[in-house]
Amino acid sequence: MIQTTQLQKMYISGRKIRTILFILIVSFSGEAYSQCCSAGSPVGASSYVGILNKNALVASFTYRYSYLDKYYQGSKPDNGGHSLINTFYNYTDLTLSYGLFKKLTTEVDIGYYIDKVQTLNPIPKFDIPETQKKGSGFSATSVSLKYNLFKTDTSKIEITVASGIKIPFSFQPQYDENNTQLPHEIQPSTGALGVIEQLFLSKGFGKKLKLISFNRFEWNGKTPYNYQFGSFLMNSIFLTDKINSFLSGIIEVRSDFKTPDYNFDDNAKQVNTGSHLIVISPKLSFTIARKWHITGLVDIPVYKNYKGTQISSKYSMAINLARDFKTKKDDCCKEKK
Amino acid sequence: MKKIIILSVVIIAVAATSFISCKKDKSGGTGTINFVSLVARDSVIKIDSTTKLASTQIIATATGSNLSYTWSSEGGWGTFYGSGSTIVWSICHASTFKITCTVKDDSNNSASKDVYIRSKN
Repeated sequence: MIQTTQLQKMYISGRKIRTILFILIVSFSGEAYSQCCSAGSPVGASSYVGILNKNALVASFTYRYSYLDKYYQGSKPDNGGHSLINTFYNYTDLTLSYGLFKKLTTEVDIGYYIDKVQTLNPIPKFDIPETQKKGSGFSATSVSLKYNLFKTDTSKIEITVASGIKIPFSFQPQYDENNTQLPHEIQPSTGALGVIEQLFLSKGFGKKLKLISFNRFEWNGKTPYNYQFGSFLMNSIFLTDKINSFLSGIIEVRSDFKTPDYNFDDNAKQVNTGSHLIVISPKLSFTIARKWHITGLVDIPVYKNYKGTQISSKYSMAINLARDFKTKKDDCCKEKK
Repeated sequence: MKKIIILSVVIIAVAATSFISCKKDKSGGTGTINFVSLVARDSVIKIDSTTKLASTQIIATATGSNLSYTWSSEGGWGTFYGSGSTIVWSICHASTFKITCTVKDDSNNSASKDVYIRSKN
């Protein structure tokens, strides 16, 4: 009986760590579409770092707020006049992950912009006052499969690869109440299909520490209006430390690299697009009643290098709520009795 | 059996007639739209070094019954200000852009025109 209780505790602890790892990746974001007028966009928003147990289901909801108001030219602030006063977005994301088999997990992700806003400077020439433009709606859904290549409990090493597609909710542009088309920077959907490839490596040290490398590549197809958003490469390193049974601290160092967009009408790379950012993101994760997990994080950019002149993130924060819905806990314990 | 076949033919014929009559006649209706012109105040606009923005006014001239105006730019480039037949459009980078205005009347007739605007540094 004592053995069973210990096994159950170990299992629950392992499950907690898995969900926390899920959350910390789910909550990441890069300024994927930042350019001269852009509010930026979270990238895909989710990915469980590894695989789930067979039949295990994790649902995760993320809310992210990002605010941009400083222009950069290259790696230096540009204090000249610009078309935008600020731009920001409120974004939510729902992710469902399910363990299909021992080594295969599927994941579905749906993104929704509560709003995506630009505040524009007045245009005195035409007596136009400060103006705000707002887009909102579903952005894209992604479906991916994750396959575990290698996993050992003894050396605590895990290698998982994932592949998926991104499908926009709309190929048509959104209009405002004046029947004027919203600028593409605040359209909720990119209107392009995409491909997502991921690689996850993890190494545990002792009972508490874990080092994770997460790498994600996103390729975007051509939009109906002859435009192609740049590809996105994210390389991230996490260090997780289990502070106590309900609290974990996580520190992430992330490199977000985005190639310039391509404009097929001009047959040229789009100016003021493409960037390289290095971001430090501390996170705290709480576990409640063994099944609920809440994670809060902030993104602190420590290096910015933009192609041309682009508006840059001042701050970005996110909160994530995740829950384990079903596990093979009983089976697991029965097997080990 | 013969009755059933005749009845089926009649039903299909009635359904087909209804379908055809329900098709919207885009050029029909009680009125017509005369989309006279779509003109940009400046077809070449210079990006202001202070505001980093180039802008121009675009005017649609059309006649018809209870007209509504919808504005779009190819690629979603730039920002529209205002509504109705006269708007202002601005852009923050240099290129050539196609602006389209679509006019609709209360009978759902519609007509569109394009204007090209070049922005330069």
